Amino acid sequence: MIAPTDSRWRKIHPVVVCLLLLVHGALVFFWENPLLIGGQLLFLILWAKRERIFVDLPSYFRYGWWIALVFLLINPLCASNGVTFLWKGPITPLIGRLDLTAEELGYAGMSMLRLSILVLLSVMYQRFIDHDRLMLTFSAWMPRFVLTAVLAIRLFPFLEQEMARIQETMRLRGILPKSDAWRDRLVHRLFLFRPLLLSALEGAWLTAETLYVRGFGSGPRTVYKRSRITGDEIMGLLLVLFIPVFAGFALGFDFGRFQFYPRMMWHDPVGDLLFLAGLSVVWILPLYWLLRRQTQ
Amino acid sequence: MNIAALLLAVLLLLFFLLLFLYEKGRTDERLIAVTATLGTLAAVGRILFAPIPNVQPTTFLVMISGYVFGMRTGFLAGVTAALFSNFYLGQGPWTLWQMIAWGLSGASAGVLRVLIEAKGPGTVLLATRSKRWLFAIVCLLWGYLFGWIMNLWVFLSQGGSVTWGAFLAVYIRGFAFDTAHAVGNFLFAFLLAPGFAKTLSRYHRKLLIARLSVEEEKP
Repeated sequence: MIAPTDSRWRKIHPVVVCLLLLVHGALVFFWENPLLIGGQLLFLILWAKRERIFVDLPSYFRYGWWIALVFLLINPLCASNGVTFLWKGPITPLIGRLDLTAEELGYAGMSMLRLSILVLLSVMYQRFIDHDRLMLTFSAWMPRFVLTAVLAIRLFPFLEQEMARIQETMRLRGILPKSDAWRDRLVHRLFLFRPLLLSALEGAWLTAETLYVRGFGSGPRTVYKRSRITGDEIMGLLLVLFIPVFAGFALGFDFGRFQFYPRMMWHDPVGDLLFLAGLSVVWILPLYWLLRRQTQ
Repeated sequence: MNIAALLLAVLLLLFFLLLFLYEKGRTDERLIAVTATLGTLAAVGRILFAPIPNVQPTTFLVMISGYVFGMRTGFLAGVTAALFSNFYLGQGPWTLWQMIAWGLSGASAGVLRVLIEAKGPGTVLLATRSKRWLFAIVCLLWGYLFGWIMNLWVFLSQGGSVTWGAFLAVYIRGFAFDTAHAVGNFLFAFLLAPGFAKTLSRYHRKLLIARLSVEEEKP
């Protein structure tokens, strides 16, 4: 199963939800201001907490934090920006002097916040979007790609079952990993891959034959049933589109300016706080509007 | 707006263009089914090996698909593998970069076949030891190339303050992971390529024969 299907966001038109997440993803690249990025992260965390996303955060994200921590340390060490030196190290070939400045650390910290937002949005996408519904939305314009996508999505459970069947056959024949050591389990998994390939290709052939018999490509096609967008969702969509308009307008008036190099400089903290307050309202509006429909 | 966001927009446009070409091209139902299968299989391989950092058979499977079925199928299998494995592993701006990196690895394997294999219906792929070694070495190189393409995204996503030091830092940081990917690719290719090429070639021939027989049936 791709993701739990109980999220109330799955009942809303997937294009609207997808665009909402996409706008949040694009906003991260709009500015380099720790207050705004931190504020956006806090907003997304509160939203995610309300939707109970943190209950089963996948393990690879936890693993990703360690990589991000290494990134946080190595990057400032090798970069040579900033003037507030915290540590000066040896000179190395190619990279130059290894050093740490407050500005570099600040910038790396902001990059971490940016990465956290992207990761959180990625998890939200998994939970909030019904992939089938999203794909079928595009079926009228991209029928071949949608067919490929739908076939691929269907193949996941098919391959899962086939894998279980092959493993069961192997077990019955007495072919098991030699031990619980990772190397033996790896060799065993590799051994299963060729029968899986054969089985999958046979399945593909049967699917293709079915499509051929149904007259694929020979004339007017069947179009998948697509979910219609409601008036409320169009209103929600407009509210989503208002977010980048508002952000762009404020940036035009020089809100959100923050300079890391050569020295950290925050031009207008009070103005940026006000901007963040305004942004929070603009972020909440589409959520309120779209969920209002679900609770009525 | 920084360069990473701009490049993402360009990549998105490029994919829409490729999608348009895919829709307008001569793609029959068999090729669609085989592409979906190969892409999904590569995606499943990635998910199965997800606990081992950067060691997965995806690049090898995409490349062997491109080698046997040609550039276009290789590219599409790579794109499909990245897109659908990320339904499980997490979608994000990185998906587009993975799609382009795996797509290019599949297409390059198609070019490799044109360069080293003889043309003709009866050709046995990867028949000689030198060809197997060459394919495995190209798979190894793609382990690094894939990492370097993804590092470019990591580097650019840092924003406006990019320096050579930061560039090298990203590549140095990723070297161990890229090496794991490259060595994994080499081992998968070296151990599995001849058998997989044989199986896939059989299906490729079946595909060609089916297409010929359909064309003969046409009035």
